[in-house]
Amino acid sequence: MAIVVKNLTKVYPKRSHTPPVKALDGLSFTVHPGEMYGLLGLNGAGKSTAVRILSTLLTSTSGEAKVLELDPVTDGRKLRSKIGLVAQTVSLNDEATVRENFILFGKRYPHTSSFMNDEISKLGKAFEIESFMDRYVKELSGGMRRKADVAVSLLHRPELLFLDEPTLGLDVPFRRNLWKHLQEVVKERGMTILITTHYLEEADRICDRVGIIHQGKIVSEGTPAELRSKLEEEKHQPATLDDVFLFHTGVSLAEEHEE
Amino acid sequence: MKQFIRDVLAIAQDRIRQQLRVKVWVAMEVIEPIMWLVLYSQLYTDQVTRPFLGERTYLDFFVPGLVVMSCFFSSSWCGLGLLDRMRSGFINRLLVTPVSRTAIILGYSVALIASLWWQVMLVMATACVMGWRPPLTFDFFAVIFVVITLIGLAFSSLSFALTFIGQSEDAIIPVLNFVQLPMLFLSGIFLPLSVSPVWVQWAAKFNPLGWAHKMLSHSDTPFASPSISWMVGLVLFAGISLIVARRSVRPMQ
Repeated sequence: MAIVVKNLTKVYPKRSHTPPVKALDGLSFTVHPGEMYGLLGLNGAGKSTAVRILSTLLTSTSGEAKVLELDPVTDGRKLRSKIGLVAQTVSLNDEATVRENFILFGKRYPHTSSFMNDEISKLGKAFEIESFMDRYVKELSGGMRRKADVAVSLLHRPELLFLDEPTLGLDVPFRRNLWKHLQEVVKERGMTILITTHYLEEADRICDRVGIIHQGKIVSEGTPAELRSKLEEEKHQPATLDDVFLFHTGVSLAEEHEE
Repeated sequence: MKQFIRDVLAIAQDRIRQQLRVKVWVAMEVIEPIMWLVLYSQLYTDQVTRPFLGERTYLDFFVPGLVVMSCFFSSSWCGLGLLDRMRSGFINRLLVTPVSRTAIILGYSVALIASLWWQVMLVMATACVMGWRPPLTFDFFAVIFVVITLIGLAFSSLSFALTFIGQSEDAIIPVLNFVQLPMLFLSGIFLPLSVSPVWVQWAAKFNPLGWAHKMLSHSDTPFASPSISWMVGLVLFAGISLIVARRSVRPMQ
């Protein structure tokens, strides 16, 4: 398994004006190697907390997690050389060029310079970012920055990539374009992907399996088609992934997103 | 170890490059310490300082103190510069690479120390124009180099620790304001401690800024026993600060 999560809990401690927050409450799911798995949930459902724990940024309060057979806490350093993370915000150095960002992050991994240069060139082509490789990140549009951000996270050829709301705030054509590029690279490399998203039509289209996360735990899991057909059998009417989400959480993610 | 050094230098290089591209930052780093030198060195007339400085001018007394003060202020505020990078997710991205947490702290500290070196050289050059005559010996420059490095490392580490723990200007700035001025006044930088009350002299014994100031003031005899003990104190202080910073590294909440 690429990811095994069992009964994971995370309680953020009390702060001056806020009580303790239980972000994860017995979260369990597995992700198979080479799979694209989507965690779907509202804001505050625990998606990003799960990603942060699995990518070694946070420690859990209790429960077990294995990522690529490694423990994110005790094998953190080893695990970090095999994973990549695309966060909700573009996390490049704004005052540097795209190429300088590639080099800064790429050289943190034990690869040769020629390997890295080849990869920069391949990713530049794959994501159509060659034309602005030598421009400052701060000069780029939101969509261009995001493409560069995703490309930089693929530079060291991670076995597993975490994508935390990677298309948040991007318009539909740009989202489709980004996924087209990303899917091509993922297919070629056989990478495993864990993605969190608000966009259900996106999840329906690109994910092999999805888990609906609500109040810190998975309330339903399966392929998008399986989840839809289960609900269709129960309700005797056509169902979308948003209907599935509404059925399990009591909230429509599409409406929530529009608001 | 080779990769560790490469990581430290790459992070430092990235930081320096970022700072140099911000013209206002470069200008202020040059103007601020020179302005302090010009203004503060005029605080007292020779008539006032003669009873406790003898034939030395106030400029002779103050320049080593200004070096310590510039290093102290620049390094203790430098954590705030990290806040923006934490918010943008840049630091989280670094934390998900195999780079060690210590390399991240050291990288940013090295960038700061590099800026302190040229800042101090500029201050000293300006002081020379104003009439200050430093001992132009290897020992003197070695002591300056060591003091800048240790003060820079210690207070930038503590500043990063505060930033990682506080994670907002509202939490960081009051703490810095609370600590900075008392530390400065209890260091003997503005006036010799011999004219201060006994309790101030006693408190100053535990102040790393005071150790640094004394090292610079005795830079003609850097290998005499008091200088060595102040240096050991600064090395320990810098080491402990680095450990505190390393243990404070955490992602933005």
